[in-house]
Amino acid sequence: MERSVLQHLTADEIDLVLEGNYPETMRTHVNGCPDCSSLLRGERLVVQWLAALPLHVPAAGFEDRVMARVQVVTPRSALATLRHRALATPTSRALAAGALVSVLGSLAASVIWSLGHPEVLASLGMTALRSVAELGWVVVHGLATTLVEQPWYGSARALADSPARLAIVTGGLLTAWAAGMLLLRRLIAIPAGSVAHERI
Amino acid sequence: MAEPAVALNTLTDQEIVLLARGGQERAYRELVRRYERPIFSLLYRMVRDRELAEDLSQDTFVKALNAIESYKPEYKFSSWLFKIANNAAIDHLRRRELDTLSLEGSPHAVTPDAMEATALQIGDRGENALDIVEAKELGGEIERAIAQLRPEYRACILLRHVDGRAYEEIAEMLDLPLGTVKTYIHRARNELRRLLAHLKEP
Repeated sequence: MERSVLQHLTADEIDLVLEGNYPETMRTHVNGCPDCSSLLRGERLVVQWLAALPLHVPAAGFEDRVMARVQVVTPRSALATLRHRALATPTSRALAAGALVSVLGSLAASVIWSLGHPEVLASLGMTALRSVAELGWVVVHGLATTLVEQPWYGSARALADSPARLAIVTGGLLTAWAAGMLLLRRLIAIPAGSVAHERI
Repeated sequence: MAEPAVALNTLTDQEIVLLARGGQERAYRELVRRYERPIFSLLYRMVRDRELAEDLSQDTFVKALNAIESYKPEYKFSSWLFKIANNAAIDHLRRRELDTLSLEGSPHAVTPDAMEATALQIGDRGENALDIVEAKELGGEIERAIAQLRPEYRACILLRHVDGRAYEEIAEMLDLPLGTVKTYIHRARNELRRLLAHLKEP
């Protein structure tokens, strides 16, 4: 909604102006309104004074006094971190115990069941193996068929016809791989960013 | 194993926190160096007692650094630290209701030396002697006016206009609704304008 030039500035509008956002309608109003003009001048002055207040400095040796009371973290392995987190609170301890009991219970139940039904287990195992082998064959066949049907397959195969060509192609691929690895290492290096209060 | 020589002042707070979590003491020290002045200044202006502000600042850093593993990197480290500091100040003010003006020294100081040691010191800005006196007088007037604000107004106005924090950040730090923070800051500015009306433009 458009503001009227007759309206006095609201608190939010004063904030906008203090942040450097001074629309023309507000400026027109302030220029013709002694109340808003004086209010704005006063607010600006207060903000300037506050911003110019110096930072106070604690007594010398503050950093050492803090560090004397701080326990520096000892780096832990992933397993130790997991154990630490699992034992940190009563809730996490209860969750961890519940998870442990359910895992051990399931294991025990499956062992007991397997001991009681060896023939069913063997039959299930054979069926599962057959299924995996069939699935693997279908995947390999599908991939090979797709590859052979590609328009560039003939040219690519011709490249590997002689040992010399094969060596050149392999060398080229290895070089491209090495260059890619170097580029990735540069990309994942820690960036240097700007820091709040770094010049204090 | 020797720590790799990374220039800590080129790293962000989040990166330093990661190093601290990796057990690097110098990363802890860097965090203290970065924030000792802003945190001490906020607490000093909140409680208006140098020794007390120093104790509360130490407690703030000790509490934060000993809990560094529970810090969530999605939040700004400085917001987390200021939140701890502000809570420490507010807790103290609620307990003690220390609202007397103490530019001349802590109300608990009993000897002249103790009063001198605990007096609010207004820093100079590198000008000549006359400027320093004027700056100290002006700074003293402003500090005195801030000291007269209600503690919750004081925290908001200091975070907004001395530390330059955004309204949303202050609301998060102080656990207050955004509208309340805006209201407190507007009221604090009105109050300061009234208290400082006798000062001339610098």
